[in-house]
Amino acid sequence: MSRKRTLLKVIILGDSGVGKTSLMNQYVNKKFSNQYKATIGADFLTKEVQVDDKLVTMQIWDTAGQERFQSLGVAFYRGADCCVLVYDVNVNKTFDSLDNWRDEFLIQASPSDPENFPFVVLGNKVDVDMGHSRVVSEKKAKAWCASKGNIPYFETSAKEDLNVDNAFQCIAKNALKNETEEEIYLPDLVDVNGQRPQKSSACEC
Amino acid sequence: MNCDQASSEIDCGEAGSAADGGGERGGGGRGRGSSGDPLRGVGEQNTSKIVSSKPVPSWMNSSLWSTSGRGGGGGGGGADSVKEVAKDTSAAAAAGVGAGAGAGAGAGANQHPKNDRSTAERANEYIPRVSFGRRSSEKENNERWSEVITSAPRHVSPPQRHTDPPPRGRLMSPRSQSLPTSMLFSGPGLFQRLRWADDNQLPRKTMQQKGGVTARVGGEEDLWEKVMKRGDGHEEGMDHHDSAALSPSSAATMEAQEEVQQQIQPRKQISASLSHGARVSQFQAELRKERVNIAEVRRLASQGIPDGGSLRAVVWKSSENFCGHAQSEAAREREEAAAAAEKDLDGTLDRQDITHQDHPLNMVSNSIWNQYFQDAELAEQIDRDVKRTHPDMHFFNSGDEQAEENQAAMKRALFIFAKLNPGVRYVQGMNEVLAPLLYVFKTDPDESNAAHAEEDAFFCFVELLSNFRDNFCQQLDNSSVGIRSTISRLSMLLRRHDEELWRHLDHTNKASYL
Repeated sequence: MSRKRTLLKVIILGDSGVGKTSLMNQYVNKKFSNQYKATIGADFLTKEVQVDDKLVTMQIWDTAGQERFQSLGVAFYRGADCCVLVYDVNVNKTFDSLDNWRDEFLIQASPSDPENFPFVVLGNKVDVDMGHSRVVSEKKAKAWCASKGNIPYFETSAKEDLNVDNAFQCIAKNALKNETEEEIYLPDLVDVNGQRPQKSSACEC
Repeated sequence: MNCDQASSEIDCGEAGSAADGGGERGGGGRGRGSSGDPLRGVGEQNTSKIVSSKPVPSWMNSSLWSTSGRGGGGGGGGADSVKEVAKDTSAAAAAGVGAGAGAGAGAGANQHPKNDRSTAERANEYIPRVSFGRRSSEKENNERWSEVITSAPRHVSPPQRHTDPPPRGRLMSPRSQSLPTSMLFSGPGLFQRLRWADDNQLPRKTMQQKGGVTARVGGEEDLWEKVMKRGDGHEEGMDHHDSAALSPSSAATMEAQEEVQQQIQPRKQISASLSHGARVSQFQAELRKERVNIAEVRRLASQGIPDGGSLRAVVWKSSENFCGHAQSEAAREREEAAAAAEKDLDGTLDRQDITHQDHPLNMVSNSIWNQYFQDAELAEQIDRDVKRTHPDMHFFNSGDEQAEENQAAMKRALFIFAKLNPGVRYVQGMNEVLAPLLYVFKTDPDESNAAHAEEDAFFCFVELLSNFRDNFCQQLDNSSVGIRSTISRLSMLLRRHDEELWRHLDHTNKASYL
């Protein structure tokens, strides 16, 4: 195959306020701000990454955390190469929601091989109160990840830039792995400059 | 008529048709009592006892709550407060509906069967009489009123005594009960705005502005024709420039939207090159007219509203078909009554309100415990977003007392809206719609207006959202009025007007297949 897809689509999911936007911005722009607004709908940033001697572009989709937006996410979820699940180690509920986020993603994105679709879990905000306010233990989180097919797990702090690069490196790697496995489906899909069938409405959202 | 559809793009039309819808749903939308006295509901509500044994978050302590029977214990504690609020809302609503129903059965009974009357007539009852300008004497008002009446278009008669109050309180998703919002407010702001229909008085003083005379919203002949034409279900608005111009989807984006609209369908040219002063006088000239033509004001606003003075606040409020504050005798009485009502509350919850079958793990939707947890979650969500609203602005986030109060006002407004609109609740992004309203109204140099910024912002927010609440409603996502079809209509429009851009966006959406 001559045409290699080098764009990786990564979706960040998780409850509202767990730090999805902060993580993305820390990774892409190396910046942290206390002044982020709530994300409405979705937003994305791209970053070039080197993965095993291969240069790829990561397109990172940051989504709204409110449940209301879940059902509207189909358009964003589709075609994802990796899904990042984020929770706040200081809030139990955000961890409990991971199940729901994962299930919802699998339903809406309907990847070809749901069993092996690459997820990565990030426990964010480990810096808060020097870790004294944390309520979800690393052990508990790892147990959950293990039960879902050995999902890689990272403890991060977007604020302190702790583990963020590592996590995204892993994300890129897994996304790329997934992408190559799916490459066989590409020929049907690549039709950028050619004639598009005239659909009455191209927007599916 | 589908009440939903009834939210005609023309405000005054909406009033008429909305009342219509309310009527057909068994008067649900009219539960405000035929005298339109919101306190009636509140008074009755006092009898239900509200508990507050745990700390109330400070932002819940507000004038917005007070009439609705805020449980005592202002100092005391949080957990129950949400439940209390929830109870308040429903209790107030119930009381309101009760009062409304009672009145409807009694005095109101002979007024409700109005279905045979023309929409225009009904609409007319709901046209607010706005006075921009110096406080007018009653006599002056009467004189002006008679002028207005004599110059009024045909089919229009002055409001009758004891007509229903305007459907101001009718927010609500189609599924929600039509709760009378008026029940929830003690501040004179809303009460006064609710006055105009029920007491047939002539325009009192409203927003203060330099010079100016009594003005009446939306009296223009052409507007009336539109009202009459569209009173019973408006046409789809997307390609109708008038309706779009008349239903700004958000105060913040109103100007931008209208600008776009203008480009799509060029209308009478407005010279954007006019100086600031000239533009201000354009607005003032328009607002000073005896009858303010809202369409014209909006047209002017489509090029932006000049900064300075109260102009933006006045234009926004009038665009939402809103009457200003009247420091009337009756308003004062109501304030007193509200204060008295608050004093009467003894802050205890009747034991019978929570059944013995109910418990914290109860997942049944009508469980008070379940409701309480849901409300707590809602409050948390709102709290999180309000803290993130315009974090760069001193007004919202300086950390000082004023900013905290502004945040608290935002939270109350959003929470109440969510409680009143169970089909919509709070959706992220609503904070962004509310914020500019609160900011503009609160920074109004006219202090008597700024004092009511919270109520006014809430009111305008409700009005704004009523124009497109279906988009927020999850159950309608896949229907023809839901967000998905709105977006695909937008996409179609974009394609028609700027195919290149449309192609680019379409392409970006499918970027993973590059």
